Amino acid sequence: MHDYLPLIVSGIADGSLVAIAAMGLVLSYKASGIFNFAHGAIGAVAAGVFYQLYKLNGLPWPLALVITLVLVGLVFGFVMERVAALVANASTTMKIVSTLGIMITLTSLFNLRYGGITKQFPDFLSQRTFRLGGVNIAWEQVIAVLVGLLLAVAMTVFFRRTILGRGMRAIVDDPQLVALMGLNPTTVRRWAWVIGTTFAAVAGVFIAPSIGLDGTTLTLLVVEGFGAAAIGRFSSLPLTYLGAVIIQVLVAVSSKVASDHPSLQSAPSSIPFAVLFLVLLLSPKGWLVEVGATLQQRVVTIPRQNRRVGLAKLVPVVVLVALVPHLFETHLLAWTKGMIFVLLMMSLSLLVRLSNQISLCQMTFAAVGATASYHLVQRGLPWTLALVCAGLIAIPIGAFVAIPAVRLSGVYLALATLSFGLFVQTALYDSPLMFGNDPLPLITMRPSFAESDTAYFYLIPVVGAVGFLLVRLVERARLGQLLRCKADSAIALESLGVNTSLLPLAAFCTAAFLAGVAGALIGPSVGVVSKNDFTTIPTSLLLVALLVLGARDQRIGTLGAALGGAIGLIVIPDYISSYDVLQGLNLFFGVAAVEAAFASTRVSTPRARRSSTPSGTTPQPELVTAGGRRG
Amino acid sequence: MADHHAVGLSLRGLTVRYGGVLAVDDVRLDVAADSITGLIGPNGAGKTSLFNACAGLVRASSGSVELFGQDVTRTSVAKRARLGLGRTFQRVELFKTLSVHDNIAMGHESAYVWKHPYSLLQALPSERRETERVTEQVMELCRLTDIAGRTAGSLSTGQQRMVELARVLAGPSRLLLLDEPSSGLTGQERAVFAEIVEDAVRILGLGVFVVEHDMDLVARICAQVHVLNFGRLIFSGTTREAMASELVQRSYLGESAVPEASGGPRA
Ligand SMILES: Nc1ncnc2c1ncn2[C@@H]1O[C@H](COP(=O)(O)OP(=O)(O)O)[C@@H](O)[C@H]1O
Ligand SMILES: [Mg+2]
Repeated sequence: MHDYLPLIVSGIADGSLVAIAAMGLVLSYKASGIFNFAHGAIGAVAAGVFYQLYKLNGLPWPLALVITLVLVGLVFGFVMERVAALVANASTTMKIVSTLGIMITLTSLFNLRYGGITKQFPDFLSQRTFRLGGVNIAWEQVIAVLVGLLLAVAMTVFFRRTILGRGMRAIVDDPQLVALMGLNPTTVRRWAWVIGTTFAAVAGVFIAPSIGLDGTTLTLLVVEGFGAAAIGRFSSLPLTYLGAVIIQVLVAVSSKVASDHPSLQSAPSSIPFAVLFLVLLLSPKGWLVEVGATLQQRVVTIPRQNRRVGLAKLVPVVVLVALVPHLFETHLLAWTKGMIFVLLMMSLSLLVRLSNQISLCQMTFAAVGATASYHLVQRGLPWTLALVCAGLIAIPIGAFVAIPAVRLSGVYLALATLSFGLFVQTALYDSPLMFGNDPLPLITMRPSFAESDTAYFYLIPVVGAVGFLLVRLVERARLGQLLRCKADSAIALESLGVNTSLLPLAAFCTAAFLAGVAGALIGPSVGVVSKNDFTTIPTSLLLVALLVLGARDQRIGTLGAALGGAIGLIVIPDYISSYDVLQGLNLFFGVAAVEAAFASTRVSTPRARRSSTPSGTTPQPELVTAGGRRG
Repeated sequence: MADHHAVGLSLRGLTVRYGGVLAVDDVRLDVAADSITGLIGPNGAGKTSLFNACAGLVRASSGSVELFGQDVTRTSVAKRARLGLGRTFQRVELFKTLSVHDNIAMGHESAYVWKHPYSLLQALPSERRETERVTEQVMELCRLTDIAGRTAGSLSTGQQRMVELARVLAGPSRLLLLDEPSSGLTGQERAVFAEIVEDAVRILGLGVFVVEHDMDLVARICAQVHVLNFGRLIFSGTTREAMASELVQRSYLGESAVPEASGGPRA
């Protein structure tokens, strides 16, 4: 027991810091109805600003801290309030994409400024320790707990006692009530965002010394706070605090256990994601209610193309693809890998188009496919059979992820897929069944009938075409029609006697199959495959951002966005292997995704085709509150 | 109750509570399986809640719902629909991105889903033929053939309500719950709507339970009416008796002249 006491102490200290971030998240979510996926990135930016002021400009730390908090809190508070207002009328998916885009943008900006190598973050707080009950306790830890508790109590009192706090609690459900209280709704929301982002900043600055100035890790740490927020039902601050502390104590204690068992090495870091996923998976129906009014409209309205137009568009694409091996001989491998990304995009697009759901773990399915086919080929299975098996093995994984999809929608489903992706990445990628513990990548084989680079390149469009036909088949089948109906009105479909809860399962399974096949193709394209090809953050998120770009403009279309994304993510970095260029491209995709989210509210209301309807019927988006008040 | 009629729906002590709000209070009533029954009452009386409890969209706090003699109080929405209960909604619930034809076809096709393992993938040829036949027939009945190809979301309110009715008529329902089907309709559209409902009842042998504010319409089509006020059933009887009843006059008809407060049916 005594061995564990110091770990429990450090868990409580870490938990308090994560709790600050999580409470900030809950606060802004409750007041705006926008779940801020960029919350962690804002914390990372704050750590960067503090680093600049304290380490590089030599300001005393209290001053640097105050400037950082005020600056980050105000700037991002105002920015996020504007963003939230701009996407208020957008679909849930677009709301998610808007903050995902900001997350991608901020992370790339951070990386552009502070590079890819983790910098030592100065320990600005006292490193001295004292002994209590036989345990060494650092003052740093005491400060963390005190700050966390202070903010939690302050917020609770603020919500109960002050008029602004009460306004924040009421604003989503009843803006008019807030106006009656003599408050300006915009001001109330803005302050909620300012407080929320300031909390993220506090957490970022205080966590940074223990892990260094690394954008992705800092972002992920705050994402760990999502699990705590889930325990608090995305609503209760005290429960969120408690959840964060429990999770971090578990992490600390399990890291001790894991250090004795090498096979469990990665278990501790995956606990927060496991908790988030489990809470979402096991929460009873109605336990988690999405905050805020959602518009009852089609989410990503991807235009249903006339078949002939689709084919006409395909001709130049086919010609271009056929020419690639001749035009870009030296970089053919990257082009091949890029083409596989088109396939991945297709799998995601199927999910969104059919069932209005997004998956933030598409790369996880791909990773399952990649490793499954690798191991099967190793065991002597014919290549083609292994490829099909890779897809088939991904299906149950897709079905598993879809269990939350039966009950959850929108933000919570997105969170479930994100946490699943991060869990598999942290806990299972290193297992011998997947990429293994060895830092070296796996060496993959090509099929005997497509050994040469050119032949393998041409194999991808062939598989793609088969996949495309499969997608078409599902879309045109009864399942496709049912899923479209469900997206339009689930309650109507139920009232016609259809059990709709299992329908998303079918969509997820198909998408997982396609992604699994695509994943299996990745390795042989360049000869090796490693876990870095399959990151949840940013790759899975970038896929979603790209998909939205395709939906933004009919002229781009899904295929166009997929090609553009493949070129941007894979091909260009192969020509110019510069870290900054890579980050710059990510930055571009992030900004473009945010812009597409904004644009979705502009294009989706007055559809050109509707101009022929009588004037009395301008389609007014009808507000339905989360509880579905009226039948 | 008119005991020479078969009973389609029968509620016993039905109570619906939302937290502290008592929306439906110990209601006992029967709905005939082969004629039109009205449900009237001021806004907020609990009419929609009563329908939702019948359809299974909200859980009854106590009491029971019986559909064609079978207790369905604990049964799911979809199961009740498969047992023959169809409904339309106060706020129209259409498949907005689908055409009028496809909306109505889904009303019929829904009955084939989960019937056989293959059912999610493709319609059997026989199913497809039957769906097409029924859809054409219903579109004819509801005078929608001309706009069969239009996207449902782009239609006027009147047309949307008609499509919603047609969709449920295309299915196997034997008892329909219509929630304010004429709100937002022009006078002309109301007349057509009433005619079609009457035709449907006559031709298909359906029972209809309808929430309706237009008393002229109620008088014209409903054999029986039930009157709700503050969640309580205050009157059951023939339409003529209801119009004559002083209690009904006071609680409802008198009030209907007063401008309706917000939260009422949207036009
Ligand atoms: N989902 C709900 N949650 C809480 N209260 C509700 C809900 N639905 C209806 N109510 C309340 O129940 C009462 C009855 O509403 P409703 O059934 O819609 O009446 P009607 O259809 O007769 O206008 C009203 O006071 C209404 O505010
Ligand atoms: Mg009503």
